[in-house]
Amino acid sequence: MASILLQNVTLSYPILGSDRSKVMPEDRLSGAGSLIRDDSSRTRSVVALENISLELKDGDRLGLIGRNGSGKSTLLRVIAGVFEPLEGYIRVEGHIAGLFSLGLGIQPEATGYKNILISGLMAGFRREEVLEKLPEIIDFCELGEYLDMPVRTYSNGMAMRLKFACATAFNADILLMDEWLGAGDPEFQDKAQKRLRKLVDEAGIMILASHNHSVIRRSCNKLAWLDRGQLRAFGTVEDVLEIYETAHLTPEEIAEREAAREEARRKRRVEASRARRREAKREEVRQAKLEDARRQRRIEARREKRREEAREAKRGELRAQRRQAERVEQQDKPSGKGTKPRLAKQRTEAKGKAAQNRKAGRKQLNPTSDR
Amino acid sequence: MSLAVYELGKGQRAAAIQDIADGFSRWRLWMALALEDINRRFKRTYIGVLWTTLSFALFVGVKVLIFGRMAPTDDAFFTNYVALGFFAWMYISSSIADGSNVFVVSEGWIKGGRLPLTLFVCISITRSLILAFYNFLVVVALLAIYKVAPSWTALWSVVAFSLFILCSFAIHFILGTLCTRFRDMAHLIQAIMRVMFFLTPIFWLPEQIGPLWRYLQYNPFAHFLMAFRDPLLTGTVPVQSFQIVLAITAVLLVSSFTLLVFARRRIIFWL
Repeated sequence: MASILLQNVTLSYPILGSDRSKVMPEDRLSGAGSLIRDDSSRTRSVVALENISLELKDGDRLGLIGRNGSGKSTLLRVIAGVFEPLEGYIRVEGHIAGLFSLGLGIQPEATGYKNILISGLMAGFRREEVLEKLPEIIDFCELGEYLDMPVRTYSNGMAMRLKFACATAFNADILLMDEWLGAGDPEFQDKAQKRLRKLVDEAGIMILASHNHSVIRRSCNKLAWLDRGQLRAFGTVEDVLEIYETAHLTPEEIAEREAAREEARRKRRVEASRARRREAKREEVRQAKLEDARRQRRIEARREKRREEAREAKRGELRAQRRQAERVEQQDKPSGKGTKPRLAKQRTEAKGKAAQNRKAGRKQLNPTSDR
Repeated sequence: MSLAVYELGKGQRAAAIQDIADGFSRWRLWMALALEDINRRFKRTYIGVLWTTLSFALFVGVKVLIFGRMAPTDDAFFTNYVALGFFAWMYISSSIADGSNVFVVSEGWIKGGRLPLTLFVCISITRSLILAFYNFLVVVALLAIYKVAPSWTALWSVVAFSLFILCSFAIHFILGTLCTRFRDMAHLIQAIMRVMFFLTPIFWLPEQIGPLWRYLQYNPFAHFLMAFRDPLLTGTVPVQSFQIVLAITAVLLVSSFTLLVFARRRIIFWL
């Protein structure tokens, strides 16, 4: 069960030993950074967080956005209990893992093993708990015999593996991240991402400060926009991003953006209708092709039929000739009388039919007559 | 795991006590880190931490060689006098020097995670104690060579040294805080301590300097030294010195706690 409650938290860093003669009116401040304010005649401070109230419960994945110096990191550290604000109230329930100071307390002269132990103790775990996790950490960082050597002998990437393995070894109720973590070569990167993802999934609350909006869209369900130490917007990721993006534009830019959006919409419409037309044309061509094929098949069938008929006619003719020949033979005999005129009639009939068929076939070939 | 629940923004006194309790309870961490500090300081040396012993012995030897001639006592007594006095001085001055920058040198850690300030004090004191142990080897050797058999009275030296340790906690918090806020302090203290080395009866005896001692006895370090040295060396208990040391310890402890209550959460902003 994790929960975070901040009420009216204001945090300012006193600037000690700076030149006070330079006047710095806060309303003229532009660019990155929080407001600079003179608290009294003696002290001048950077107001890193001003009147922040925030409540988070289990399941919340909060993204923090805002330009450099807007207080994102400070807010993370306030929640982690590193900075204790002089004004306001904070209550945090749950074990916190702050992944913003990887490699804190790494002892270059100590061996990898020793460093794993120290970093576990630093994170607030008992020695036994760290020893329990030791095999997993060793397995994960794949440093082999190097773990017996002082960390100063490691390359940057190897040291990073060790730090990452230590930082992500223990599950936490509350996970705080300053930019999404990454470490190592491509192979390790893969493994690291899986592990981090798991850690995030198993945490009750996750807070991620990032400039990468796509990472935030992917990992967060809430978003807070900090601007010069103030909470400008808090809500769902899409809502706050919309507000954030809109707010960063001048009126002309907003108009421009609107125009651009309108233009884009118009383009999309034009494109869509063009596509529709193209599609229709394509469909037409397809249909025509299909029709052609069908017609071809019909013509083939008809030709076949005609050929069949021609053959049939031929056969009939042959039969008739044969019969006539028989009849002629029979005419020579008394029984064959009267058959000759009938045969002649049959013959002319067959001839006429073939001609008709031919004519019809020719007619079919003409496409216009089909439609 | 620590930090199951925490609340900020109220009860500074309770928070200060919590800081101290958390700091002490994480003894495995400060032990490990103190040892690592020493490892780092003597990295890749052949005799390692024995360099402390060696340099301590050398320093005592030279002091005895030069100042022994002026001392109105025999060599055996004077050698042990210097060794015990210098041992106590080394612990005190290193406590003050380390205490001055205990938070400044831990800046990265203090800003990197939620760690009790007491932890850094514990690391520093543990480190001083380890080094003191190696110095003490010389003291023990000299006491053995000159056959100084400690009596039961010598246990008062242990009491005195325990008070040293208590004071060094207070001194770490007080000077650590002040030197973090006011960076001139560390340099001022360094300068003062260099002078105090000569104004404290380490390599001279109070009898030697005559009327000057009347003023120098207001030097609190003198009483710290005497409270530790006399029971071991002469078997007597300097009652007045003990009273002074006790009073100073009490004042330091109370003021250090008060300062911790006020400055605990501010120190990080002064780094």
